[in-house]
Amino acid sequence: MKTFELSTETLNEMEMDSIIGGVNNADEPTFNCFGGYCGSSCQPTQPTEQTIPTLV
Amino acid sequence: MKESVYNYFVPYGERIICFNAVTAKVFSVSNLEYDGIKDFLNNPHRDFQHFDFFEKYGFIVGNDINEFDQLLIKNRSAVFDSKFNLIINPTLQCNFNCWYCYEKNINGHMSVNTMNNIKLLLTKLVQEKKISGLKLNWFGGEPLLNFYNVVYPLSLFAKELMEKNNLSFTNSITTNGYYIDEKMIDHFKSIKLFSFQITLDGDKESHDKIRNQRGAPSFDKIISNIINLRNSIPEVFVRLRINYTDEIISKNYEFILERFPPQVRRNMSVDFQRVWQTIKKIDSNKGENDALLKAIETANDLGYLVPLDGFYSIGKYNQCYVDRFYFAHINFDGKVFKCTARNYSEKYICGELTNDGMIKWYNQNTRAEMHVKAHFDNEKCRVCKTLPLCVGPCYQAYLDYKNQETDNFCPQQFREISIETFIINYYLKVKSNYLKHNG
Repeated sequence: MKTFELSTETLNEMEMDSIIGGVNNADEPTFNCFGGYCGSSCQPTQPTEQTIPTLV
Repeated sequence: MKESVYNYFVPYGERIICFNAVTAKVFSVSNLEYDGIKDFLNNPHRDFQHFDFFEKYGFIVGNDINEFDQLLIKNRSAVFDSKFNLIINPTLQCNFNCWYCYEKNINGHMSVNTMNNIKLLLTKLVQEKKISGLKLNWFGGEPLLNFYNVVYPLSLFAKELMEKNNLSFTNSITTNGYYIDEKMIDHFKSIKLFSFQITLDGDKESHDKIRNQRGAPSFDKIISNIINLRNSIPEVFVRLRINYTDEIISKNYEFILERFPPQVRRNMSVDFQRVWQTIKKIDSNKGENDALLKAIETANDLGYLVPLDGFYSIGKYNQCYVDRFYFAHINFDGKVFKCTARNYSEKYICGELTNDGMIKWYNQNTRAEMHVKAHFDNEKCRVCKTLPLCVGPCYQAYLDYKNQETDNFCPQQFREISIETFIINYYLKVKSNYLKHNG
């Protein structure tokens, strides 16, 4: 193995706390899907007759 | 020892970000240090002075450790958690008529008989010591249409039942926020209704076109209601849901999100979710939605809590609350469903509430099959490096796959932000937090 030292910058960063649960929490009651898709991987399987309206 | 299969190394400027997807530990190193670390990871040995660090944070694991099995254990523990997650639709009626909504605005409200059956169900679960707490959530339709005759009395009953038996209780609601007023806010306090998901569809112009009451605008009223709510009950948490299309995600979010005073933002998150009719499969190697990234960054800079990206998560082991065994979604008519992102047609009915306070599940075999093993316990997820961040398909996606209604259950086929960008953003967030407290 190569001999190497870690810099102070790296050692400081190794002290940084992780942000667990700080992203998406599926157990959070209000984390509801919408329309068959929520970033939690649901995907719509039913075709829709609706079309995207023009907003302008 | 051996290197974890869930390590990532992502170039960032002149440094390399090191990230373990299981422990979420992240830090950066120089190119020279990276060479040394890679060398160590290829052949871990205790002579290296930081051996303990790399072991503690999962960058190296024992030779006999199967990391996939470790995730399976965590999944089983999460799925069979004994807190009962109960979602109730007091009605499917709504005062809005959003173009993308999958619900059909079916007439009807929850009857006293159905409410009594829910009370019986909860009482039995508590008496038989089957649950350790209750996570109550109100959905619909617009649940606040039936606040005083359904949401309030049932919440009060459930809260008192749990408190009397020393069980945990949380209460939350997905509402459009239109009907929240002073009187209601007073009632929220006594039923501990402290968690809200409320939607804005972009800016005032786009929102009012989509979310209106027979043409009457709602943008200003909803913002004002949220501010009043947050000012009146400091512990209230609001998840501001922004449903986006390509057009809506390109709006000026600084202008929109500055409408909330800084003290109000503190307990608010902003959650951007694509409107499902506009989903498209992307090339997962190139997919990068710059407008979405910009909107997330803006919300972050303004002091909101922002999920880095809905396609990835850290520290969770099941995809959705529907995956959980102790979960039920009861419609106003007493029919029981699972997924909250499907319509309420016959096809999706899983069971019904009976007059003796039980849930009669119609297809016990499907129910068993869907819970007996993790949904990510399949050949594809087993070899996927993204698994700890993705957790595989949700209950409904996997059921659709098993029923041959879709040929691909992988959530990553729709992601709009690459995993490398996710890791970089996560690193920057962790570093910013660290500097805030140690700078």
